[in-house]
Amino acid sequence: MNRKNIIILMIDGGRLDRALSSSTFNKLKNNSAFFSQSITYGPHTIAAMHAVFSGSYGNRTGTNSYWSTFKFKKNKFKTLTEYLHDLEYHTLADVVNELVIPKQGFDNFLIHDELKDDLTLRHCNLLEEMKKYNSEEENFFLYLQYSNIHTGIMNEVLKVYDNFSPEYFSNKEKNEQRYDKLFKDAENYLEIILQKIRTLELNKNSLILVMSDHGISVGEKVGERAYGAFCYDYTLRTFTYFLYPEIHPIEIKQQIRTIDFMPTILEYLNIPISEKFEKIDGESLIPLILENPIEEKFAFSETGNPLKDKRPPEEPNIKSIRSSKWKLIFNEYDGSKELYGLESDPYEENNLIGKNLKIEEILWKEIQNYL
Amino acid sequence: MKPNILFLVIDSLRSDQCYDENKTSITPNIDSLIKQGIYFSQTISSIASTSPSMGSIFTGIFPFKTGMSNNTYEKLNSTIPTYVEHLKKNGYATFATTSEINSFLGITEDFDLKIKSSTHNNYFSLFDGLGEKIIDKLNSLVKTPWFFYIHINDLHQPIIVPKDFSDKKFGETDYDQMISAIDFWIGKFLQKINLKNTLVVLTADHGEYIRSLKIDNKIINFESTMGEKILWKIGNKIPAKLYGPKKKIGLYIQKIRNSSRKKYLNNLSLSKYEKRVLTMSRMSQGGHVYDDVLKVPLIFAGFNIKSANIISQQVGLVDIFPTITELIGLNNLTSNIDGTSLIPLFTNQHLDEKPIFIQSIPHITKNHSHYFGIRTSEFKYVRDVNNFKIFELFNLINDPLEQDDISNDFPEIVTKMENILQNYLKQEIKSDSQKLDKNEREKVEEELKKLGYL
Repeated sequence: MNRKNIIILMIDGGRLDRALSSSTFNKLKNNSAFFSQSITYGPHTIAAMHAVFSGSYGNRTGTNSYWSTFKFKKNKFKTLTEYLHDLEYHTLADVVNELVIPKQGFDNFLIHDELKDDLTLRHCNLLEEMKKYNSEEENFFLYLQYSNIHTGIMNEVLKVYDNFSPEYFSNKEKNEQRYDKLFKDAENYLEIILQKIRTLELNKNSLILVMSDHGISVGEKVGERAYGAFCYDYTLRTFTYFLYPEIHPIEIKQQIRTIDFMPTILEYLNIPISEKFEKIDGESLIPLILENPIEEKFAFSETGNPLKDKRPPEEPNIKSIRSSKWKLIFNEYDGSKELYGLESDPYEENNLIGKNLKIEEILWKEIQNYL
Repeated sequence: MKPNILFLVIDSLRSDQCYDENKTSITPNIDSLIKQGIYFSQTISSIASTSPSMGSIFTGIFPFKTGMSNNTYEKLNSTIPTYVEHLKKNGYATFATTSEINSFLGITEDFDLKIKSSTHNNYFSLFDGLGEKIIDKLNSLVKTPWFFYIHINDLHQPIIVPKDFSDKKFGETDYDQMISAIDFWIGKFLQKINLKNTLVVLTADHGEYIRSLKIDNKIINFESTMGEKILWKIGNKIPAKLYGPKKKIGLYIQKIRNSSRKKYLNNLSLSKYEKRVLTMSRMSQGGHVYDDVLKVPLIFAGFNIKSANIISQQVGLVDIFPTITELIGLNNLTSNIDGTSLIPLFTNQHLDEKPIFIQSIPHITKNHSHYFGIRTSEFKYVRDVNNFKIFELFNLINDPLEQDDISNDFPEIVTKMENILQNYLKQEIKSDSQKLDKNEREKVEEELKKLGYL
C-alpha cells in the first residue's frame, strides 16, 4: 500500500449558497482546497455523476439524461473507479439507486433505502469496514451518497407539485425553509462522518472530496420546482472541497468543471491517464491547488426539460455554455437563446440576447462544439 | 515507418464525371492521381446519403448494420469499432474536416481533434476559406504518421461555381465546372504532401443527378435555380427562428419549379432515363437507388502503390479501409466486416466479386417508401422494404441506364438476388446500445419512479 485512499462524500442536491453560509462547511475551508465555482455537467445526479466518474461530458459518454445510464460507453471511457480498481484498491459505493453512477470497477455496489436507512449510521459503519481494509495494507475507494435532501424534496415537492404549480412558486419562503431544514440535516450528517473519519485517522492517509452533484430550486424560476429542467446557476453551480493531509488551504474562485475532478484525483495519485480509451474532457486542477494559474475553461452543461410532460425526455433539449462572467443558454426545443452577465446578474434575470454583445457570438460559436 | 494517409471525400462526385472519355471538366490533378495509382471505375456506395455512407466506410460494414439506418437516422452505434479508432490505437494522429452533421451523428467521435476544429457547417466552401484552412493544417502536420479525412462539400447541390471557373472551358454544366474548381484545390493539397510516404485515397460518399441533358443538340438545363443557390448560401447564418420560414421558401420555390418543369417536359418525348434525370433528386421517392447516385470513383495513389491500373470489377465503399489497413501493414479491424481488401485486384489477381447491399435513404418523410436491394456488376435488384412483392430487376450490362424492369422475364434471378439479400439481412446487429431495449427501459422507468421523477 503506497497510495492515498479516496473518500467521496457526495451531498446530493447541496446548494452552494447554503454551503457558503454554513459553519460546518466553512470549517472545511481551513484544511482544503475549496472550489467555489464548480460547474456540473448535468443538473441531476445521473448525468452529473457519470460525467464526474468519467472526466467527460455526457454528450460523449452516452449518459446525458435520466434515461441513459445503460448507454454509458464503458468500452470507450475508463472510470475513476476502474483506474483505482486496476491498482487493487478495494472499491465500494453506497448510493440511492443503481442508475446514479457507473458501476464499472466497484467491488461492492450497495444501494440504500433512502426512506428507511439511517445514512449516518450506515456510512459510519462503512468507514469502519474500510478501515479494516486499510489496516490490512489495502487501499480503498469509498463513495458515499448522502441522499436525504433528495428524499425530502421527493416527498414534499416532486410528489406534491408540478413544474408550474402556482402554490409552489408563490411560496418561496416556505420553499426556502423546507430546503434549509433538509440542508441542516446534511450538515449534521457531514459533521458526524468527518468526525468518524478523524477518529479512524483516515484523514491522515486519504484524499477526501466533499461535493454536491447539483443544486435545487427553491422557486427561483417558474418551470422548475426542483432541478433537471433548466441550466441556471442555482442548480449548475456546486461546491467542492478537496481535503488531504499535506494541503495548504486555498479558495479557488475561478470557474472549474466537475469533470475536472477525475483527472485531478488521478494526478494526485500519480496515475497516468490511459491512452487506450477516449480522451477525457476534464483536466487536472492540481496546478490551481498549488497556486499555479491555469486558463479558465468554458463549462458545458445540458439537461432535458420535460416542459408540460411528466416524463423527462430521453435526450437533452437545453444546453448552456458558461464562463465566470457569462452564460449562454440554448433552448433547443424552441430555438430560443438566453444570455446572462453573471457578475452583475447572478440570478440570471436580465436576458441580454440580441443586444449585439460580442460575447453572444463567442459563446454561440463555442456551444456549437457540443450540439 | 507507417505512411501518412490523406483521405479525400468529394461529396456527390459521380464515377463517370471523375474518369470518362465524355467528361468535360478539367482535372489535371485527379487525372495525375489516376495515372500513377489504382482507379476503380465501378465502386458502389450502399446508400446515397452522406452520414450513413461515411459510417459504413469508417466501419467497413453495410449501413443497415451501423445503427444509422432502418427507419430513422440513428447515431453510429458506439459499440461498433471504427477504423479511425483502429488507426489511433496504432499510433496515428487523426484529423478531420467535415460537415457538422457527421460529428453530430458520431462519425468523427474517434478523431483526435476537438470537434471545434474538425468540423464546419455544410455551407463552408473551399473557396470561402476552407481550402486555406486545410493547407494550414497540412503545413502543421509535423507528428507522423497522420490520417487526415477531408470532406469537400462544394459539389453538393445546389452548386455555386466560383467566378474563375464559371466558364464553358471548365465544363458544360455547373457540376462539371465545380469539379474543375475542386481539382484546383486538390492540386494545392497534393503539393503539400509527399506521395512516397503518404497514401492518398480519393472517393465520394455517393453520386448525384446532374439535371442537365443534351437532347437533339439542345441542352435542357434544370440545375439549381438562383433562388435555391441564394438560400443555400445563406445557410445557417440566419437566426434560428428563421430556419422554418427559410425552409418554407425553399419548398415553395421547389414546388413552382417542379410544376413548370413538368409542363415543359410533358411536351417532349423523353426516355425513362432522361425523364428520371431531369425530374429526380437524390431525395426523390425511389430515386436514390439508381447508379446515378450510387456509382462513385475510388482512387488509391502514393505509398505502396507500385504500378498503375484501372479496374472495372465491382467493389464497394466498404472495401476502402480493409484495403488501407493492408496497404499500411496493419491487421484488419475485425473479421466480422463486409469489406474486403482489394489489393489482389491491384495486380490483376483474382478476387471474388461481392454483391453489394444497397438501400434507400432512411427518414425522408413518412410517406416515402423504403427500398433495399442487391447490386452485382451484372444485375440490380431492388425491392420495397415492407412488401416483397414490389420489386424491380435491371440488367446493368445491356441496360446500364436502368430503364427496363426485367423481373418478369427472369424470376430465377429475382429469387437468387432475394436470397443474397436475405443472407445479408440476417446479419443485422440486433443489440443497438444507443437504444434502450424493452427490459432496460422498464428497469429505468422503475428506478426513476422510485426517485420521484416519473
